[in-house]
Parts: sequence; structure tokens; C-alpha cells
Amino acid sequence: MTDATDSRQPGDHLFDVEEMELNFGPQHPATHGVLRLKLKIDGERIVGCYPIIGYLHRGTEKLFELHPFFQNVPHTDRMDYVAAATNNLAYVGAVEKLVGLTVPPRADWIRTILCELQRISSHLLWLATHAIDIGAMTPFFYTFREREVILDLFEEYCGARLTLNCMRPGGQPYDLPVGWVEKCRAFCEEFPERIEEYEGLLTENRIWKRRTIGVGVLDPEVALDYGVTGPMLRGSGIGYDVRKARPYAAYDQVEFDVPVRHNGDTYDRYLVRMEEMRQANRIVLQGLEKLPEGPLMAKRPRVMKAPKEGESYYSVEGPKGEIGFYIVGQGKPEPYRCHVRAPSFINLQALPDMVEGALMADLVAVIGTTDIVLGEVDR
Amino acid sequence: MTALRGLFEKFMLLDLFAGLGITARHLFKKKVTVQYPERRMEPAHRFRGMFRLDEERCIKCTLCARDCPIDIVYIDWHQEPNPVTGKKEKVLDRFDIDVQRCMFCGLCEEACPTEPKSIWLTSKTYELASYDRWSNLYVDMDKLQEWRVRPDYTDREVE
Amino acid sequence: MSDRDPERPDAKGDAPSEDAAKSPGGDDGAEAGGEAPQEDAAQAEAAAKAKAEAVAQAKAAAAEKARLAREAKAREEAAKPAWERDPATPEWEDADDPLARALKEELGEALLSARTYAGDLTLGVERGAVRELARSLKERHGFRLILDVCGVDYPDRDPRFEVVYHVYDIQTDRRVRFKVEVGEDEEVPSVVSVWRGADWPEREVWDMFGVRFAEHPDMTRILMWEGFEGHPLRKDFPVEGIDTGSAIYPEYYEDEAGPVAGTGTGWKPQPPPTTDE
Repeated sequence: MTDATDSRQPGDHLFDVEEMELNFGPQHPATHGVLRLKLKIDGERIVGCYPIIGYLHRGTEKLFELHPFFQNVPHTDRMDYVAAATNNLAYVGAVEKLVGLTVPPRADWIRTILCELQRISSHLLWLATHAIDIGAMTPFFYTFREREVILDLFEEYCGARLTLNCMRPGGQPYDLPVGWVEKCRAFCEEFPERIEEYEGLLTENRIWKRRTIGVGVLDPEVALDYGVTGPMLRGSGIGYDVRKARPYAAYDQVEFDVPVRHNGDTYDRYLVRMEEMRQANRIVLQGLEKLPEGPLMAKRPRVMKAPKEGESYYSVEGPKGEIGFYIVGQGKPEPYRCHVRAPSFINLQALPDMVEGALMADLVAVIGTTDIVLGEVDR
Repeated sequence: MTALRGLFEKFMLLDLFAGLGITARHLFKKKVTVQYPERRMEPAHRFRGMFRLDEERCIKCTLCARDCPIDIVYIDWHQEPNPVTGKKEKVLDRFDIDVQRCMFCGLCEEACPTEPKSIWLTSKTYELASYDRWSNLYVDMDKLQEWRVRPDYTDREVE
Repeated sequence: MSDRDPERPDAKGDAPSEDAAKSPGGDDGAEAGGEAPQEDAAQAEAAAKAKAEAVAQAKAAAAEKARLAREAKAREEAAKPAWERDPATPEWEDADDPLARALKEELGEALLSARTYAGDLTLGVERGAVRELARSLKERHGFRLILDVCGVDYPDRDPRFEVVYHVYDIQTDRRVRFKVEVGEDEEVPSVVSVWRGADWPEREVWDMFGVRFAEHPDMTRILMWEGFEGHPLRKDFPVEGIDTGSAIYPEYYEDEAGPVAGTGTGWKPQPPPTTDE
């Protein structure tokens, strides 16, 4: 493998050798959104990579300052639009922490179930797009079939499939409709077979292995330094999961494992996410059994005002990493400042490190394994 | 022995055939695709689609306009004495919704205090496309009450 | 809690009626005083005293009843589950924490404050000591994961901006927030040399607020496009956006010239073009 600090001179070969600057432009099917990469390549090898973002910047943080707390929940859906429920929960949890609300247990359990279903749905989409970027088209069809069932479940619960708006500060606005628990259980009981199907297509497949083993290695120290969280960090050997470290909602009352692998390459992160889907399935089944009866909304004032001088940071484990909301309140019903700690934004910083010296085809695999959603990166 | 088996697997492409076996099995399974637009699936009961307004139930409290996160509900009302009962009551001049920007979040429906609600999104309609911008995308009061375009759904939900 | 308690709604009303009953008695005593002045006066005095005592006793009894009722209500409230009580707003408290004490010893005067709010330790630090605090937190106290760097704009305060850092320690599950106050044209030492993950968040603070970070490897705009003038998350930047012409590109457009942003948001429906059929 030629290293980046090559000392070849222009006259050494038959042809002149120089680095090419290539623009892996914002409109590209493999960039999972509008991500622009300025690449310096030497033949097929990437010598330097400079990501340029901001093509989907919509000023969400400024919009948060305009409206009262509960009206900002639809805005949070649109940041990580693939996993809206975890975004909602992070925002709503931060508001509840700021104001001092406690959520009734039934609402907590419903939130847990929704977030885990959302995790399964997000990982299914990740698998679909990652596989299709690498060239395996079949998982895309199969995962979207499962994803339709999950989206239908969400539609029955809150009325929308993708931009859910399914939580409010203080609890849940709607109760589970009649028959929802049975449908969800039916889905969860046949889901492990489906995961076996996807694994049968990819995990032992020699082509998949050659494309992903050893590609995009992320050293654990480097990962921690960059602030990377989520399956990216767990694939490199550090088992940090907000659900275990600081349990929120009903996660301290369910049993689940957090998969950790130690090589830090794309194949390991693939295995981590597949196992996470299984664990999420397990959590949903436990949740459906243990769901208690009770009220859905905490007692809250009609106009929920922030304290005179308060701030809170609350984080949840989203499918891509740790989603955090930092809200500053100044006595008004609107947040004074609401900042989002978007996991994809922070994880994307590690991309140039991971693709240094890799081939162009590996770049596509690495972008897929970083699992970025540009809505979150740009806000 | 295991080395021989390893060689066998490698050259006979057994792992690739395992994958092909899974896709081959799918040839004989039931297809999940719904051939839209000939057959449509009916959305769930809580599906947030196009609005409908009912002017008689509306008490002109403007809570829906206040709660909209993007401020697209425009309401004008004035007070005038009712010719029949003689009492002063509110009359709706304008209730327009800018559907271009609506995100169908449902906060207006949640805010409505009447029972049953005067504005609701559960009309199960999501087919709002039109050929020109002005006909369907800025819906005024009369249009909101007349929104009756609903496609025929099949008798049973497609599995 | 007001004096009016539900058990005795007219507890306050009792006192005036007692007083009203007292004064005619006093007048009577004064009227009857002409005939047998001394005896009646003494009697009246004794009667008034007894009445006063009775009134005082009644008042005390009422107060006692009110207090018992309040306590019963408080117990009832406490027995209710947390989501049925009024929200318990957290308060700022001084941090009594070994980490805060250790940092105070290391940094001395540069650590301006150490408080907790809703369970989060919040430190205030001087601008010059940011990198020292960051290095100490990472190397001596194990906060190896940088969660976030963000800015807040307080236009009424001086210095105007506040840069807030969140860091986390994976081994012991501790999260610390530290803040730096910085004015409009001042620079904050960058902590990129301590945590590489502070790179893009610091660029975002520069882009959105205009706070520069000294010794940052690439201090350029990240979310807004290159050449944009203005810092969107400041409180004086309008939500609708600004003129995209001369306000942003003064070297390209003349004064007040160029395309104007924000006019598109007032779109009004146009009547359909009339066709002659």
C-alpha cells in the first residue's frame, strides 16, 4: 500500500504523476444526502478528504426560539428524519428536565417502545442504503418490506409515517389504539427470521467480506477524541451506550445487551448494527408485555414557561449516536436557545481520518457505515 | 479435513449460492407490492391528511392559528348580532390555510377546544397534487368545507 | 397558600363578625354607664375582657385548624405520584463536589463559579484558562469524550456571548458543562488540541455567532456558504433572512443592490391565467 507521503518525482515514471482534485458533489446517490467531499486522489487512492456541509441548513435552531415548547416538536422530527422518535424524545426530555416534570410510567414505556421500533426502522434503512452503495441490491427490497410494517404501526399510532410528532413535554398525546399491541407483537415475533435472511445474504458472503473487512478502520482512541458515539464507537471496542450509562424512559426496567466489537472496521460496525436490531426487537417484546396502565400526561401548567434562568442538557441513544439537546430557558414559554448535539455532525468529522489511503470504492463503503443523515448534520 | 472442506466451499461458491437460495425462495412467496393507483391502501384512522373545517362548530377562538408552528392559518372574524337570535356572536370572515407550507403536524387539530373538533386532519386524503399552483395549494374557507375529493379505497386492506 | 382553607371557608369571615358583635356591646356598656357607673363599668370591662379572650381563643382554634388542614393537604400532595403534582422546577445550587474542589485548587481564580442545576455540574471559567481547564479535565480527570461546543447570545449582557462546552467521562459516567463568557471581538483559545472533536462545533460557533477561536486549524464557515456576511444565530439577525445582495456580498453588489431575500415568503395566490375558450 503506497503511503500518502510518497516521494515520487514527476519525472520518475513514464507519465507525469500528480494528485487530482475531485469533487464528490452534493448531488450524488452515494452520499446519503447533500454531502460534498473535496477529494485529493492519487489514481484510485484517496490522499485527502475535506467534507463541505451546509447544503441542507434550514436554521432549525433559530426556529426553535420562536415558538413555545410543544410547538417545536415537529421541527425536531425533521432533523434526523429517518429516526424521528428519538429526536422527539431527546427534545421532550430536555424540556421536562428544564421545567421539572416527571412523566407517568405508561408514557415512559410507550416512548421506549416507539424509540426501539424507530431504531429498527433506522437500521433497516441503513442496511438497505449501505448494501446498495456497495452493490448488493437485494437487501434494499427486503428491508423496506419490514420497514413498511413499522411505518404502518407508527401511522396507526400517531398519524404520520416519517415525521412523527408523537411526543409532548409531559407525556404522550395519544394512547395506543386498539389492536396495536397485537400487531406489534406479530411483527416482532417474525422479525428475527428476517434478520436471519439479511444475514444469510451478506454476513458470510465473500464479496461482502472483502469489501468491508479492514475498510475504514477507526481506532478507539481517535474515535473518543473526535467525540464519536453510537455504533461507530461500539464497533471500535468502547461500549458506551446512553441507555445503559444514564437510563432514561423505561430502559432501566428492560433487559438487553449492547453489542461491542473490537476491530473497528466496516464489517464490525455492520455486525454491531445487526445485533442491535435483534436487541431492539427484544426490548419491544418486553415492553409490550410490561406496559402498565395509567395516565399518559403529567400535570403541567397551561402555559409551560421555562424557569427564570435555567438550562438543561439531555441526551438519548439514537440509532446514529448520542442525540443531545441543550436548552436555555429565560422565563418565557419559548426556549431562549436550543442547541442540538447531532451525532452525524460529530461522527462526520472522523471521516477524513477513516478514508486516508483507502480506495475510492472504500470511500463509498465508509460513508455508508458512518450512517449520516444530512438533515441532522446541517440542521 | 477442514482444509479440504474450506477449499470446497471456496471453489464451489457455497456462500454465494446460499444467498441465491434466499432470493430464489422469494420467487415463490407472496408479493407485497400494491399496484398503485389501480389499488390503493386505506390509511389508518389517525392518519393526518388534508384538513376539513366545519364553520358551525368553530367558536373562532384562534387557538389553531396560535398553535401552528409555521403560522400558516389565517383567521379573521368580527362580531355582529345574529339576525335570528339577536345576540352578538362571532362571524368568520376568513379561514385560510396555506397548504404549500403545511407539514400536517396536527397541532391545530390538537388545539381545537370544541367537541367534536372543528378542524380535523383525519380525512385520509394525501393525494394533493395538482397541475397548477393556485388551484389546490392555498385553501380558503369554502374550499376547506367542500373538500370531498377522496379516492375509492379497496374493500379490504391489502396485506 | 392563602388564609382561605377549604375546610373553613369563612374562617376570615368569623373575625369581622366577632368584632361587629364587640362594638355594640361596648356602646351598650357606655350607655348604661350613666345609671350605675362603677359596677356596670366593671361588669362591662369584665364582659369585654371575656369576649376578647373568647375571640382570641376562637382565632387560635381557627388557625390551628387551618394549619392542620394545610399539613393534611401537603401530605396528600406528597402521596400523589410525581406526575400528578405540580412540576418541581430545579434551582441553581452551589456545587459541593470533589471534582469542583480539585479544579478550584488547580485553576485558582480562573475558575469563576461551580454550580449545579438539575443535577448537571456547571463551571464558569475565564477566557484565558479554557485550554488549561480542558487539558486538566481530559488528562487528569478522564473526561475524554467531548460532547458538544455551542454558543449562546445574550445581547443584554456584557460580555455578550457565552460558549458552552459539554464533556463526558465514560469510565465514571460524569458529565460536566463549562462556560466561557466572551465579548464581540474577543477570541477564545481553541480546544482542538485537546479534543479533536471540537473542530467542527467550534467552526459552527464562529459561523453562527461570530466568536473566533484562536489557533484553530481551519476557522471557516461550515453551515453557511463561503462569503456569507452575518452571523445567523445572533438575536439581531432576523428569522426571515437578510438581503442576499449587498448585505452579504458588499464587494460584489453596490449599496442596497442585488437580490433581496425574504420577499418570497409573502407569496400570495395568483389568479389563474385567463384563457379564452
